[in-house]
Formats: sequence, C-alpha cells, structure tokens
Amino acid sequence: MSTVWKIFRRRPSRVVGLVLLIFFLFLAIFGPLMYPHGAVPDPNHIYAAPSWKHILGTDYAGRDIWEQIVQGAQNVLFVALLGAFFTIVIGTVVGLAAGYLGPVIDNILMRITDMFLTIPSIALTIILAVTVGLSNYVMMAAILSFASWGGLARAIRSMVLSVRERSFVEVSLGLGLSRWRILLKDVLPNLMPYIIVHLMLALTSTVYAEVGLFYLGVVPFKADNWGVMLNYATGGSGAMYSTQSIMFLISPILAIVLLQTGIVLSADAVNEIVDPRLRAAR
Amino acid sequence: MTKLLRRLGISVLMIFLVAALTFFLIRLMPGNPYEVMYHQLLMKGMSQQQAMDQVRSIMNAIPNQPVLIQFVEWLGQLLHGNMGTSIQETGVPVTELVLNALPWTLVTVSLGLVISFFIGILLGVWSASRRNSWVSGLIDNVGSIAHAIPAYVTAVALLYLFNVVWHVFPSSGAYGIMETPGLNIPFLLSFLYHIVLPVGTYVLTGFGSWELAMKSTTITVINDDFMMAARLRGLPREKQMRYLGWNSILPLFTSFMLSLGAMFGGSVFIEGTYAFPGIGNLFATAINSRDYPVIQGCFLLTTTTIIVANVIADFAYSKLDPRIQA
Repeated sequence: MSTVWKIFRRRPSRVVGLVLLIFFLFLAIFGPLMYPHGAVPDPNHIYAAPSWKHILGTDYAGRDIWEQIVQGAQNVLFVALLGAFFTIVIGTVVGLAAGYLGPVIDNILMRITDMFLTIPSIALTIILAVTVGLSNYVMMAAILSFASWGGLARAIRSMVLSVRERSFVEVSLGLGLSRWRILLKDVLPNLMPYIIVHLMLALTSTVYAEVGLFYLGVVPFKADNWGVMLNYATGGSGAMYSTQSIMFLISPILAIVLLQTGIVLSADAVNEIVDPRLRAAR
Repeated sequence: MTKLLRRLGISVLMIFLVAALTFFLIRLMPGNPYEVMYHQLLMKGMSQQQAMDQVRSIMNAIPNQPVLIQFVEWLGQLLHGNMGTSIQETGVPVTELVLNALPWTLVTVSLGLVISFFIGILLGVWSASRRNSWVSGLIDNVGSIAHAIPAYVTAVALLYLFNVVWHVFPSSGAYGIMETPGLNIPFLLSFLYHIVLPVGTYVLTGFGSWELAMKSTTITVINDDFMMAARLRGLPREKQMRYLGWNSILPLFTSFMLSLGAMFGGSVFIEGTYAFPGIGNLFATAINSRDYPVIQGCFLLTTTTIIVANVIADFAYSKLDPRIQA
C-alpha cells in the first residue's frame, strides 16, 4: 500500500487523476441515492444562472443541470466499465488462442483481427447500435466492445509468441506440465501488467464511443447521458448561442473532459504499479 | 512478388467479407427494411410487380426471395458499380452521393493526419530527449489527455470558441456560397478558411498517440548499438539525429495507415458537428433517417478506401525498410 501511495505521490498529476476518478466513481455509486428520481422540469426557472439551489444552473426546461450530470455519471461509467471489461476479455482470449494454439488457428484469428482493425470501428458500432438497439446496459457494453478488441488481441498474440520462447516456459514443458497450466500460470501472469493498463485505455475509448452514440442522436434517448445533454446544447435548444444558457453546454463538456483526464492520469500511475520493471528503473 | 499477390488476395477477400457483413447487418435491422418498404408500396396501391421492381431498383435486392439469392443479386449489382438509390433523396444513386462526399473527407482527413503526425513526431523526440525532466511528463500527459477527449467534445468546444464567441471561423459548410468549386483561387482560399476548424480538431485529437509512440520508439533506438557506434565514431550531431529520427519513424508508418480507420470514424462526429459535406456527415444523416442503401454505400466505400491504403502502405514500407522483404 505504501508503495502504491509513493508511486502516486511521485507526480502530482497522478494524484489529480486519482481524485477525479474517485469523484466520478462516487457520483456513479451514490448518485442514484442522492437523486432517486429524474430531474423535475420547472417552467419558472428556465436557464437559471448557477445558484445555491441549482449549482450549475438549469436547462431549457428548468431542470437542474447538476442533477442530470450526476445521473449521467452512473450510466456512462457503468456501461464504460462493462464495455472495457468485455473488450479486454475478447482481446485477451483471441490473442492467447492465436499465439498459443498453433499456426492454423493463428492465421485465421489474425485475419479476422486484421479485418476488425481496418473497419472504422465507430461506424460499425453505430450500425450495430441501430441494428440491435441499445436495450439495456449489458447489450450496450457488448456492442461497444464488439469492434474495439483488435489492437489488444494483436498485441497479446505477439507477446505470447515471445513469452513462450522464454526459459521458464521451457522448464515447465520439461516438467511435463499441461498446456493449460503453462498458459494460465506461466504465460498469462506475464501479460497481466499490459492487460491491466489496456483496461484503462479501453475505458477511455468506451466512454468516447458511448457518449458519442448519444451525442449523434442515432439511438433513442432512453437514458440520462452526457451525450444527450451535449446534443441538445449544440442542437435543438440553441444553448450554445447565449451566455445565459452556456452552463448547459459547458457542464457535459467539463464532465467528459474531467472523467477522461482522470482515467488517463491514473493509468499513468497504474502502469507503474502493475509493472515492477518500471519501478526498478527509477 | 508472391507475397504481394497474397496480400492483394487477402485484401479482396476482406472487401468481400465487409460487403457481406454490411448486407447481412442491414437485413438484421428491426423490421426488415426490404419487407417494410415492399409493403408500404403495396399500401400505396402499387401492384405486386411494380412494388417489387421499385424495391429492387432502390435496395438492389428482390424481396420474397431466399436471402442467399438476394445476396448474389446485390453483389452482382455492386460489381457493376450500382449501390442502389437513396431513400431520402429519392432517385439519387448512392454511388453519386458517396463519391461526391468522399473527396472532402479525404482531403481533410489526410491533412489532419499529416499535420498531427509531424507535430506528434517533433513533440515525441523532444519528450524523449529530456526523458527525466518534468517537461517530458507534461508533454506526455497533455498528449494522452488530448487523445482521450472525444473528437466531438473538442469539435464543439472549438466551434463555440471560434465561431460563437470570437466569430473567427465559419460554423458550417466546406466553402462560401459565392464560390464555384474548381481550381480557382477564391474557391481554394474559401475552402482552406472553412477547413481550419475540422482539420484543427483532427490534429488536436490525433497528435497525442503519435507523440507517445514516437517517444517510445526513440527511447528504444537511442539505446541501440548503432547509435552508440555513431556516438563513438564522433559523427556530427545532425547526422546522429538523422539516424535516430529515420529509424524511430519507420515503425510508425504501419500505424500511420491503420490510423486512417480511426480518423474516418472521427469524421462521423467532426463533420456532423461542423456540417461539413463529407462522408462522415453523409453517414450520420443516413443513419438518422435510416437510409439503408446510403449507410451500406458509405461503410463499404470507406472500408475499401482504408484497405487499399493499407496495401499501398505495406508495399511502400517494404521499400522504405530494407529489413522487410516484400
């Protein structure tokens, strides 16, 4: 624990990242308790300026913006975490299989991976979202991860190929241990640092894609989401063109930027926590 | 040479697979669009034969036939360059819509890619050369945060600052309404003026990944034996830098072309925000109005463009780096 704290303290930016990340996690977990119901429209306070009652002011229908940000946080973070997890699992399994199960499977899997890497993943995700529909969180996460595992699979495969030539794998082979045991106990632990850091990066790209889907407005606005707010702020409500309503545009932008900043800055520290070699180099 | 042929073969197969994917994905859409359209036409009072012909000319597929036969028919039409006609803009061939939009996107995306590549490389070398100072950490953080912030957020922020607040750059379109597209100076100037914000967005969201990649390859190359030898031989600094730069940039070329896919993906958001008449905007509007033939056309053409670009890149890469044989 003290090493972890030391790593965070080495750069102030990492502490900032951690604080931001914890802040948004807090909003996502306790937000529904703070505001169990949807924000209530109040026709007497349309585009109210920030005040004690409405910290970030109100939107075009007089709803509290802060409340919407909090409710959006749960949606965004939960789906992003789940999506990133799916991405990691698919990428790791495909990469391990390609690197470990012989050249025929390797060839087939890598051609498929190449295809997914070439297709513009955002476009495929949008088509899928329209086709399948974003009916619930799990479905949404599955769609978001469907087109984004290619890079990880390729990296894992090349790492497996290099790790399996190392001497400790040879020792295990010589001891007559089973292939599964070698794969899970020798090869996988060596890839773990990379996988965990990639989880953080996958998180940023799922947030990107998920909020983007709502911002484009190609999917039904079922959920509270920062993308929906951004869509209304730039489009229909015209909030962009008046200083009175500008908080409605700035709030979702700030939420997305701060969340991504938090993830990226923490990833920098996580990178060093999970990879002892980086620590030794200091 | 055989390897090149194999690569070409794989690319053709890939384009075929993507075509199949787009066809079957559209068939999976809720309320099979082919049938829906057929029945709508019947309701309008057309005869069965008329409705069938109409659907066939728009969608390039015959409803009421087995899916495989539909696919073969669609593919045959595709090979003749016929992708059906748009539903929204009735009667306009998809090929025409897509080919009109593609050049705008190609120019902005490649400009953005090249500029972000150069900025990223310069920053990467700079960051690698002062690896242990706070400057390096700052550059890395700024680069990765700029990369992680979604393109539409950057686009909206730039649009707000430069259009709403300061009235410096136009908010939409690719050229002024007074100009005629073509090779004339006023049009080109107006075009450049209009693409500042879109290209700026590509650059802001793109340079970070180049910076990080360049930094890591530079640090690897700096410790290579031949760099040590160059230092020991007392080669002039510019020569050393040339060795270093060239050998660190080489590995980035493969990702250069691969990143085209991501850039095209970003164009959906960026062009949507700036109402830029490119393929990303066309795709977004087609999705919004469920204009299936146009969706298929956009997706297929973009992917084909990227696959072709990748083949060219592979070929060029084997020429640039003698260690890899074509």
